[in-house]
Amino acid sequence: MPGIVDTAPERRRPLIVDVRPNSLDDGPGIRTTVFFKGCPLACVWCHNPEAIRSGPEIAFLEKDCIACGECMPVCVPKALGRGPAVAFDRALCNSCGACAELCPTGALKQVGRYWEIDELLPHLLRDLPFYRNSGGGVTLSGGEATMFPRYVEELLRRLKEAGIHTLVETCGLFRLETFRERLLPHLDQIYYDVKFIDEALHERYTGRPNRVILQNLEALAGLAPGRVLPRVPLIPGLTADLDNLRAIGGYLRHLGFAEARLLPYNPLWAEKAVSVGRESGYRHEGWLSREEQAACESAFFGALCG
Amino acid sequence: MGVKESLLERTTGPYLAAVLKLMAFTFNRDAGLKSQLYRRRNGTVEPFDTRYQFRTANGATNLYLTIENGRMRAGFGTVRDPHLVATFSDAFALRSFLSPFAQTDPLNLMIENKLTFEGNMNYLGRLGHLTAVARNRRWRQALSGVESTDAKMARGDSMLATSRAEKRWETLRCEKTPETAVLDDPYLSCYTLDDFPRLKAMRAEFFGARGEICTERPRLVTEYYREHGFETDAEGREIDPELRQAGALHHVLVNKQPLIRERALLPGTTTAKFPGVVIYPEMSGTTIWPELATVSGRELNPSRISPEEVDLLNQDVFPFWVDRNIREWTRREWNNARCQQLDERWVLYFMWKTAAVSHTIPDSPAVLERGLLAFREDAARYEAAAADERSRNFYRAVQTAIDGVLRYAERLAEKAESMAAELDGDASQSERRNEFLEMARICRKVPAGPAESLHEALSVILLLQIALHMENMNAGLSLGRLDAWLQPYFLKDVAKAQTDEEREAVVRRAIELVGSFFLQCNDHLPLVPSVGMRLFAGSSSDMAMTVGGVDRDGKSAVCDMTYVILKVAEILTLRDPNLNARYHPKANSPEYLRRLCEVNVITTSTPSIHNDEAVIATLVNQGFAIEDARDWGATGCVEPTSCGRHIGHTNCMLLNTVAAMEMALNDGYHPLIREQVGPHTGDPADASRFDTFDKLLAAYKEQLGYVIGQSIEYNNLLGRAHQYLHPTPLLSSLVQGCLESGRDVILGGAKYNSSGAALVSVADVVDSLLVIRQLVYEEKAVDFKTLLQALRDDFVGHEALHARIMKRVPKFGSDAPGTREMAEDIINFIYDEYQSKENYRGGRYTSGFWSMSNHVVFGSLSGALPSGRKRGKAFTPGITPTASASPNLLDNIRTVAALDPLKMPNNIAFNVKLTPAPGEPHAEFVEHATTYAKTYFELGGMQMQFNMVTTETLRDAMEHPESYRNLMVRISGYNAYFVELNREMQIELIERAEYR
Repeated sequence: MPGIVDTAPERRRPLIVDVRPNSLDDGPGIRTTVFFKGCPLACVWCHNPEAIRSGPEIAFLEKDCIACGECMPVCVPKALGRGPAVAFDRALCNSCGACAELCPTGALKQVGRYWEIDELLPHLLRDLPFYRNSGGGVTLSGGEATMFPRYVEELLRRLKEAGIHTLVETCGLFRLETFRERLLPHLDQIYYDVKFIDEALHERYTGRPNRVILQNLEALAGLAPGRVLPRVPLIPGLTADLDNLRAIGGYLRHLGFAEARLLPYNPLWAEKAVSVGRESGYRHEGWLSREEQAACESAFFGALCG
Repeated sequence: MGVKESLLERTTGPYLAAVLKLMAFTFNRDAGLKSQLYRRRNGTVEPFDTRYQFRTANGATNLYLTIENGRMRAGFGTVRDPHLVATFSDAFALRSFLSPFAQTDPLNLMIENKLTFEGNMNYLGRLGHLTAVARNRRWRQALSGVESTDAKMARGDSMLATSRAEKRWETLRCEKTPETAVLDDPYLSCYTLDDFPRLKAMRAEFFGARGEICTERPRLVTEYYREHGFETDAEGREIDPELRQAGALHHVLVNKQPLIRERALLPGTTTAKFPGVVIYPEMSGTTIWPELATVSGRELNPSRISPEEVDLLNQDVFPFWVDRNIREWTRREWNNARCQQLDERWVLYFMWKTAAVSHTIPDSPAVLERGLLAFREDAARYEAAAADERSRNFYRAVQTAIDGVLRYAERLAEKAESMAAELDGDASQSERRNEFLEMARICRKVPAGPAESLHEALSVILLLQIALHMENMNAGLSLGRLDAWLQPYFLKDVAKAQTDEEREAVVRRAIELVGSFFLQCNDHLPLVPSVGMRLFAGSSSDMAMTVGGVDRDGKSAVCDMTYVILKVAEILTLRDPNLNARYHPKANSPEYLRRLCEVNVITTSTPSIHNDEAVIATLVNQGFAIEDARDWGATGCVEPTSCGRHIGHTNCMLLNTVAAMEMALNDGYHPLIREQVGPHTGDPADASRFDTFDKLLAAYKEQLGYVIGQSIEYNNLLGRAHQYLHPTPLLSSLVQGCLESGRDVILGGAKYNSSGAALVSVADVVDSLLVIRQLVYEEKAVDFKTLLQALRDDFVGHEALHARIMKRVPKFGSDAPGTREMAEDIINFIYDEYQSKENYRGGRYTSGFWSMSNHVVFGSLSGALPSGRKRGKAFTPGITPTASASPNLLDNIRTVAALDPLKMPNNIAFNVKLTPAPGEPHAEFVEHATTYAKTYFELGGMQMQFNMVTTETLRDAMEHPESYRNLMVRISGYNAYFVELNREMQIELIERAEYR
């Protein structure tokens, strides 16, 4: 499985899409979340579509473009042309980032940059007093942070040395041995996504079968009891299917999980997907209604708690 | 000049001459109107002559209007010895003032620099009134039909009551902490407003009522001076100002109606109306003159007034004060000094000193402990030993003033007894009858003697506040540390309780008494002319109350009464008293901080929270003894005053720091004023002269230094006007140092003296400097000439530059390298400028960073800025970073927390708009807010204030004000009811960065 092999050079030195301070939804307390670029899955609903590809790319948000034209002269492959807004031909773009440097509005943006750990760490430590007072810390998310075990191992180790609570959000598609030996010792908590029980559905909508993911979860349930929190993203028409939720709930119960979480659907990802040229074909406008949300909860938690 | 303009210029003169002539004709014929041309004095009617000259700035149009011997005349040309020359920027402005179809408030024209004047501003007010009554000759009838708004607003409140009822808060509980002696659950979570029907009814009544102008005080003071003289007595001898003021105060206190409000537990009212708008004609009272006939119908904050009272003010009271108020006396004495002229261009600074010096806190705990008779005896003893006539007069004045207070208390006792007698034999009213008898007993005991129960103590504090407000304008006269001061009396009550039930009843009663006190503090309103709504949107009398912190020995002062006061603040959600909480990170408990945050969540915006450690260090640095520094209370908005011993007139001025930026960009010329105002510092487009950023920075500082210098000069002149016109013997008797030194507070008698300034819009200045440094000097992305052109064009046609400014330049509050340092440079410069100057009482000037609502007004008067802020938009409030500085609240918090409090001795206002995530449980949201506050204070932050309300709610409140009568918001240092704000201020609140 190419997605879980950690030999390619860019896997050792990851790109980071965003470092977001004051995150309140990515674990306990006030946290800083680091979004890694690159993911073995490609879910059609991915809420961070700009973090799927592991290489650099240019995001273009047309609504922010004022057509000033400053970007065009610097574009060597001529991927940028004039229109009512700037016309951007992604096929020609070599992701050099020269346009994003110049763009006054930020409509053109370089997605992903390299952060040396020596540079990233002080940035994360700035908010130490907030972590301490809130019981928060640092969350590694993405993309898929476990794709970069060497980098992540060192980052986690140094965070723990500084006394910071650490958490990783994972899709579960990683090599167990690497995870267990290199990451798990430095992790306080693991948020573990489970999307479908049905393998065919999983493969159809995420690009990969779920066998390894479920195996890893079973193993972690034994290896790190109390540290793993399974989470199910509610995707209307896909995972937010009552049978699927009942099946996941029952499965988790069977593994001995007493606690799990449903992640509410957020339709705002669609604009980001367009900006990096990743329209998957899946669309759902609007949020889940209160009733739909309640039905999902009762199906899932009914099965989980028996 | 275009054809249209020149046509307008040519026709304006004849047209307006015709208008004025018609007006004169109408006045001279109509007996009702003609009476307006006279004044009354001691029952006799006499002509009230005024000559007006109107002109356009280019001199093309000259018109006059005279009122002489009861006749009005008008026409082309000039008039000899005008009382007032009004110069309009152009024919449009002149028309907008005089045309019967386009009536504009003269004060608003002045603010916009479309009208300047020479002479006495009060005559402009009188003219405003005359044109208003000429436009609507049925104004007397109109004044009688204004009750409908009340009914509407009252309905709104009942709608709100239901919506709040649905939103029942699961309030937090708390285990007993070492800080409380009595309360088992310091959060008092078992009580809601429904448990206090009396408070609920009083509160509903307050929200249902509209202000009503009360003429009792102005009538009584004017009557007293008419009889006894103001400058000289009947024999022509000069009157000592102390004795004059004491006599007038005594006259007010022994003649004002002794009233007890329905349901109230404490005796006394500030005025004879509810809520009564208090008028101080000695200070800014005459600013309502142009609106007397229309104030009851105006859109924002209408105030009722009867036609008879309009006549009283217009013909009797105001004419007496035309030359005797602070502003006009200063103008005459120093021949309309440049610093005063600049003040009247509005865009540089706003001087509260023209109105009041009452931003202070009296020594109420000493009165509670000793009683006023002891103070009177002290004064008599000092008088006997005094060496000179002047201090003897001061001591005599103090005794006269105290006698007035004591007599007022006696009259309240008599009133309470007669009200009790009226209820004799009515069994259903026996409870209220007993309450009256209890009030009578209290008034016969205190404030003359020491207090011995919570009920007595609160009665004393309210009585002092009422009496002081008869002497001092209701602008920031503050209440002090009521939790610590009341705690001993609460404990005395508790000690009398035998059983748990009785103890519980004492706690309940304490909530009810403090609740009644809060509501009764709201029995009066400041007088706000329309222009004041622009300047101080929704501001109240700004009576700050302080809780928590440490005592004089540095130990936690949080106590049972702290939590009682917080409970009352929670269930009543009132703008006044403006509650300020001191939080000492080392001495106060985390449970206390959590409760402060919870009350903010429930009330949406109170109390504001101060870092006790930082404020105390700041006061020590200003020369206060450590014990006195620890004994501080907030004044007006947020400013620290050492309680009962310090006159810090902490709001003497609000200064617009952006004005100096506009001047630096224009070689000292101010675009709105259209004059060379500051020194010539050069044209920044001259690249050879401004070859480095530091030179531009130096030019800015030179301009700012000039503006600060002018404002201080004016403040000192106004202070001297107060010394002659308005010494305050009663207040002086309640401030330590005055009896010892034999000097009034206004003459520097207090133990500590200072004057505090508020610097407005400093973040806009810092951001502008950051943009100039990066884009013009470092990246050379734009030259100065282009930047200046973009500012003149309000960035239209410069979209790429504007986007670059907004998106690519790190601003103050982003915590990017170099951003905070720029702010510190400016803050330090300001600090040094103020500290180096001495005030008229021998104290130093202190600088602070809060803005009331002046960041909106000053913004509306200023052009586009290099910061990217567009023309007319509101500036940032207080020290709060601009909303686009960072999407991350923690960047704001770290930045502001790292600023040095020692350099901001007049405190800051740091606004944080925080909203819960959808469905976030109450306890979790409170915990989040607490973490932000706790960390901010740990990092050294000085002050923080919350708005816990969503943008959607604010938008909905703009659409449906009737449903949000008591939606409270924090502006910059004070609270206001959202629906009472002007539109610009409402938008500023909505556009503030919202975090969760």
